[in-house]
Amino acid sequence: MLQLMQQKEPSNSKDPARWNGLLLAVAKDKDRAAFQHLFEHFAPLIKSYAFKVTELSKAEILAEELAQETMIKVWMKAHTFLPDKSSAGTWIFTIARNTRIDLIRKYSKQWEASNNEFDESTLTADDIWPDQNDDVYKQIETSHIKKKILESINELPLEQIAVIKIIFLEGLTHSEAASQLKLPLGTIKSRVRLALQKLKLSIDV
Amino acid sequence: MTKYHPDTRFISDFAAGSLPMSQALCVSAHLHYCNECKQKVVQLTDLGSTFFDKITPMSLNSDFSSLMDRIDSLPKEMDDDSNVDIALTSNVSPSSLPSALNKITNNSLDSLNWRKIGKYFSYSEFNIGDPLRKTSLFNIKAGGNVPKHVHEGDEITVVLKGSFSDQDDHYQAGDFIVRTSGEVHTPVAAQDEDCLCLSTLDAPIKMTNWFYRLLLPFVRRTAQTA
Ligand SMILES: [Zn+2]
Repeated sequence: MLQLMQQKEPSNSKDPARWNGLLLAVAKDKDRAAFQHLFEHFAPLIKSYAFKVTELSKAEILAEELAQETMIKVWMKAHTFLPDKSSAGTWIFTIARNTRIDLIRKYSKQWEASNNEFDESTLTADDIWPDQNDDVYKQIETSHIKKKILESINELPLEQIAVIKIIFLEGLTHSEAASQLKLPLGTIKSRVRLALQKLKLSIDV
Repeated sequence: MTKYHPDTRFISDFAAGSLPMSQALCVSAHLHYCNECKQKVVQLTDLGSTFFDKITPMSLNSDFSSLMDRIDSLPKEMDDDSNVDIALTSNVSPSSLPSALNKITNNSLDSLNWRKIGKYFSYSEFNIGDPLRKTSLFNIKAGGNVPKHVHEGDEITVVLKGSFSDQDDHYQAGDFIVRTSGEVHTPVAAQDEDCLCLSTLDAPIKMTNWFYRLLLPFVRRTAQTA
């Protein structure tokens, strides 16, 4: 572990095993130095991920808050991370995604208008979007999927990459993507499907 | 066996986290019954995180020590939620409803406020903070039917318990059924068992578009009987 932490970025920053090791150190020992490495790498990614939601007027504040809240959850939930079911990167991404869902809801006009309190009985993203503790993760090794994705991602035509990015990073639905790109919904659907086929993800079309 | 699944569009919007809460609730209810779709969600989440890894970083205004100050100021029990996790998993039986619904119903369907329409049909609407859609649980008594109705908005139904049929097919637990505006259907529950479903319906939107207005008068008149 010590060895891992002495390695300076960026030499090994793309090594998923390193992030797993650091996260496990946080889980086991509440290791602050390990956590700082995770923070320095992931918090700026999370802020950027949040900032991509362009429709929000408070985007900058929200992005900063999302980065912080996500990292706080990473600290608190580190003991639930299971390295044989997920990678640290994917796990942190799902926490950022769920936190973004709840933050956007909290900041939305619709929520304010509904006069609801955000309390313990409120349905949160974590109630609906599973994290890696779900049974299904026992059945597949996500590292293989990621490898497959990385191997073929560069073969995707740019227009397919653009649509995938809008959907997975900018948080637009298929129909919102269609209106932003001024394309028919069917075109968005087929670009996503073609991309998934090319990435050889076992998604029927 | 679950026969009707959310399409790639629903699954990927779900994995990306952009699907509206009420529709996401329906997808997650389906996942409770369907490992096949769960695996798709896992794969698509991996796809999302692959792009996340490549995102251009944006530096924070606050530094690491201020984050740690925030963490240190949290109440002690919040700093470690392992106890909560254990409590949550121990009282959920595997055969129960999807966990999000257990939270909504407070683990008891009887605690909900049920409204009856006719002899066989009752529903309970709940607010999950999605003002654009009406989300409810509904129950059809064994052998009973839902009053004939026409949809004004798109509707997703997920069968949770029992089964029902309409003019097209027979639907069982887990089935994710999408009905678009204007379709007429008359679901009938199976003879031997009540049928419990989750449904979310696009709330009637004021039609400002003249084309829609031309299209919809018939639908508007006959809707809202259910
Ligand atoms: Zn399915």
